[in-house]
Amino acid sequence: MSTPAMTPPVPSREAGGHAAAALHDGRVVLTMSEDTAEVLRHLVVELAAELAGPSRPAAPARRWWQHRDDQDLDRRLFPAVHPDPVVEARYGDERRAGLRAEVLAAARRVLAAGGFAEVRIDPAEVPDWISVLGHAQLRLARRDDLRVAARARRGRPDAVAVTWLAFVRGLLVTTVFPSLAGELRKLAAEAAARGPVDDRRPPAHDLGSPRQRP
Amino acid sequence: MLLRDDARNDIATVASALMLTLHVSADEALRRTLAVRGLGSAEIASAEDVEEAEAIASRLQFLGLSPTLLQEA
Repeated sequence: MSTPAMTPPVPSREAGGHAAAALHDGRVVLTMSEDTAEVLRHLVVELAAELAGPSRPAAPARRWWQHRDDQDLDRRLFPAVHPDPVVEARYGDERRAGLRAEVLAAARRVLAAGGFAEVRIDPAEVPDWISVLGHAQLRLARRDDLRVAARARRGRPDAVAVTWLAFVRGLLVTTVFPSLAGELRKLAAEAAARGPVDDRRPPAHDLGSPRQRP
Repeated sequence: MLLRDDARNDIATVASALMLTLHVSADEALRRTLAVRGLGSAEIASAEDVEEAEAIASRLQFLGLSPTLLQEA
C-alpha cells in the first residue's frame, strides 16, 4: 500500500493548521488536514492488520513502516510487567494475548469512525483513541528512542509520522481533560518564571509539537 | 505492590492514563507523572494485592504505558 507524504514537523503554532480539537456538546471534534488524516488513518490500518495477524518474531526493518528493533511486536507494545522473568513468563503470554486483542478491537472501533479529517468522539471512546494512536506510534519507534525528533527534523517519514501521532494524541488528551491542560499551563508559567535551566530534559510543561516530540 | 513507569511517554498521556485508570484528579495525576519523569522511575500507583496490581498494569498498558510491578519491601 502506498503511503502519502506527511507534512514535515512544524512548530506548534503552525501545527494547529493541520490538526485541531475542540469540545462541542460534550464530544470531542477532532479535525485534521486531508494529508494528516490520511496518513494517520493508514497507520492505524497497518496497526490493526499487524495485530490481526499471527504473532511472530520481527525481521529487521527494511521499510519505514516496519518496526525497528529485534523484538516481536507484542513485546514492543506490551513489555514485561514483572521484573522477575520467571513470574513474567508465567503471566506474560496470556496477558499479552489479551491486550493484543483489546488494542485490535479498539483499532477497529476507531477505524469504524470513517475518515479522520473530522471525527466526533464520545468521552467513552477516548481511551480507544489514546490507546490506538499510542500503539501506532510504538509500532514505529521504541519507547526509548531518543533520536526520533532529530530524524523527524531531517524529514524521515517514519519519525515524522511518530511526531504527528504523538501530537494528535496530546491534542486529544488536553482537549478531553481541560483540567489537565490547565495544570500543564500552570507548570509552564512556573517554569517560565524560574527562567532557563541547564538541562537536556524537555521542560515539564511541554505539551509537545511535532517539532519537539517525543 | 507498586507500579512504576520508566517509559519516555509524554506527560499529558501519562497523566491522562492515570486519570482514566486510577480516577485521580488532574493535579494528582500530574504530580505522580512528574515524579516518574523526574526520577526516571517512581510510584504511579499501588495496589493491595498482586491481582489488583496486574489489572491496573494491564489497563495502563492498554493506554500505552509500560508499568513495572514491584513487590514492596
